[in-house]
Amino acid sequence: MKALSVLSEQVGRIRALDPYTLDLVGREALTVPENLATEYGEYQSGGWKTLSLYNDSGDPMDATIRDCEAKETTLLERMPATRELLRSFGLRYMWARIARLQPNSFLWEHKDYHELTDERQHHRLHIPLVTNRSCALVTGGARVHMAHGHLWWLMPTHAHGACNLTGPDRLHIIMDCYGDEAFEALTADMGLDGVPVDLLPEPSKKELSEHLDLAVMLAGMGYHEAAEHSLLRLFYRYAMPDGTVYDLIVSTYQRLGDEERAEAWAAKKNVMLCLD
Amino acid sequence: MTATLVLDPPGAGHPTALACLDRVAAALGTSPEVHALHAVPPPADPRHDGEALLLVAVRGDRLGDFCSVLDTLVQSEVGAVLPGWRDRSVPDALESVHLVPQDDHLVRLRVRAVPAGTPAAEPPAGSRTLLDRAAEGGAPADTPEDDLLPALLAAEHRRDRDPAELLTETLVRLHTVHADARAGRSLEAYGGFTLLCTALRELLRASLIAGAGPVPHAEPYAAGWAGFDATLALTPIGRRCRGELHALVAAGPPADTPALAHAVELVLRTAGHAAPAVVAGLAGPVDSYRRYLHLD
Repeated sequence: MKALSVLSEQVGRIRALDPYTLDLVGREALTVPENLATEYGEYQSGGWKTLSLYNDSGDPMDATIRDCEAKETTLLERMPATRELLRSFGLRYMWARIARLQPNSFLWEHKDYHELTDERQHHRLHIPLVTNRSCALVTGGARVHMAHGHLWWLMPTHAHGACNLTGPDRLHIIMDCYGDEAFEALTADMGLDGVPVDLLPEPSKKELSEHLDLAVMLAGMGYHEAAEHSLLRLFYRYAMPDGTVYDLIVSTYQRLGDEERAEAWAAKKNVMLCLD
Repeated sequence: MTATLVLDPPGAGHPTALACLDRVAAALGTSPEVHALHAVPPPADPRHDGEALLLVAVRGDRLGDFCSVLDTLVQSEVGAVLPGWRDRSVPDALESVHLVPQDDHLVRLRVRAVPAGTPAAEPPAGSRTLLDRAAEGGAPADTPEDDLLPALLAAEHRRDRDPAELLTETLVRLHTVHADARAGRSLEAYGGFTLLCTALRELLRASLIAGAGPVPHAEPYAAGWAGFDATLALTPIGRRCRGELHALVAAGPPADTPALAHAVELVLRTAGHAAPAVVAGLAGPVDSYRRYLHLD
C-alpha cells in the first residue's frame, strides 16, 4: 500500500474521455504526416517521433520543449476535433505534442523538467490514442499501462521511462502544462483506483550478475549496442535504485577494460538523471 | 556491415520477409565472430509467405556463445514479438524461431547457427549471401579443431523446456498453420497442427504433471498422447484443460480470421488453466501478436 501511495504522487488516471471524441481525435492523429520530428535522440532507442500541437513558434516540427506561452501550431489548425478537445480542458499549455512510439522502442530511464526555469509547477498529461498492452510507463518501481479511453497525469521529475515493447505503434497526445486552478479542477478526482499496476520485483544479486555476464558476452562479441540495450531494458523489468542500469553498463565496459566507453556511460547517467 | 550480394534474392515476391532478413542481418553481422550470413529460400515453394531462414556461420569456438546471446540479440535489436524457441524437429542443426514484426506483418524468422568452415556452413543452392567476410578480403574461416555442434545439439535435447517456451512455440506454429490453411495447403496445415497440439500437450505435461521430466524429443508415433485423456481427467484443472484441448482439436486448423481468433483463445485458455503466471507474463507480447494478426 505504501508503494501505491508513493506511486500516486508520480502518476494517476484523471478521468474517462468521451469515446466518440476520442475516435475523432484518433483519426486525425493517424492522418498526420509520417515525417514526424525526432528529438531527444540521446534519451531513446530510436523510434520516438513527435509533432507539436502547441508551442511558442507555431511550427509543428519545433519539438524541443521549453518554458513559454504556447499557441496552437499550424498542424493543430488542421485538426478540429483535437483542437476542440485540448481547448476544452482550459489548461495553460507550455507544449503539446503528438508522439509516436514504434515497436521495440524505449525512452530510457531519465528525468524531465530540470532544465526549465519557470517557477510555476509543470505537469504532464497523456491521451493514449492507439496503444497495446506491451506499452508501459515505468516510474517509482512500478509498470503502468496507460489504457486507451482515459486522460492520464505524470510527474516526470522522477526517474521514469516509457516503452512500446512489441508493438504495433503507440500514439499518444502529450501535453505539458502549468499548474493553475483549471489544472486543479481537472485533476480533482485523479487516482490509481482500478488501475492495473505491476509492482516490479527487486532483482536478486544472482539475477543482476547473470544479466551483467550476458551483457559482457554480447559486448565481447562486438554487439555493443545490444549489450547496452539489454541492460537499459532492465529498468522495465525490475525495481532498482535510480541509475542502476547505467551503473551496470559502466561495469560491463570496465570488465572488458574499455575505459573510454565506461566513462562515456558514467557521464551519460549524469545527463539522463540530471545529476550535474 | 558491408553486404556482399552474390545472387538474386530468393522469393523476390515477398518483400516483407526480405526486408526483415536485411534488418536481422544488419544486427547479427555486427560481430566479427559472424563469418557469413545466407538467406535460404523456403524449402518447398515460394508460397511460404511470412517465413525467412537465415544461415549464420559463426567462428567455431564462439558458436555456443552466439547461441547463448541470440535470443537477447533478436529481441533487443530486431524487436521480436515473442521470445525465441528452439525447433527440435529440425535435425542436425541449432535452429531457433522468432516472430518478428515487419511493416505491420509478422515474419517467422528461422535462424540456423552453424560453425564456420564446416560443410554445414556451405550456403544451400539458391541462397542469397548477405555477408561474406572472406569475399570482403577477410581471412577464410578456419575449420574448427573441435566441432562443437554435436555437443551443443545434445545439450539442447537434454534441456528442459519451460512452459513459456512451449506456449511461444504453440502460438508461432498456430501462425504457420493459419497461413497454410488459408492458402489451401490443408495437408501441410494438418502436419503443423499436430506439432502445435504436441507443443500444447507438453506445456500441460510440464505444468501439471509432477515429475514429468524432460520433454521427449523423438517419441514413437502417438506415444505422448497415450493415456493423456485419463491423466488430465484426474484433477479439476486437468479436466478444464482437457475440455479446451478437445475443442481445439475438434476445430482443426483455422482457415479464416474468426477461426484463428477462436484457436488463439482456446490455446490461451488451456495454457491459462495450467500455467496462469506464464500467460500473465506474456500478456503484452500476446496482445501485440493479436493486433498484428488483426484479432482485436
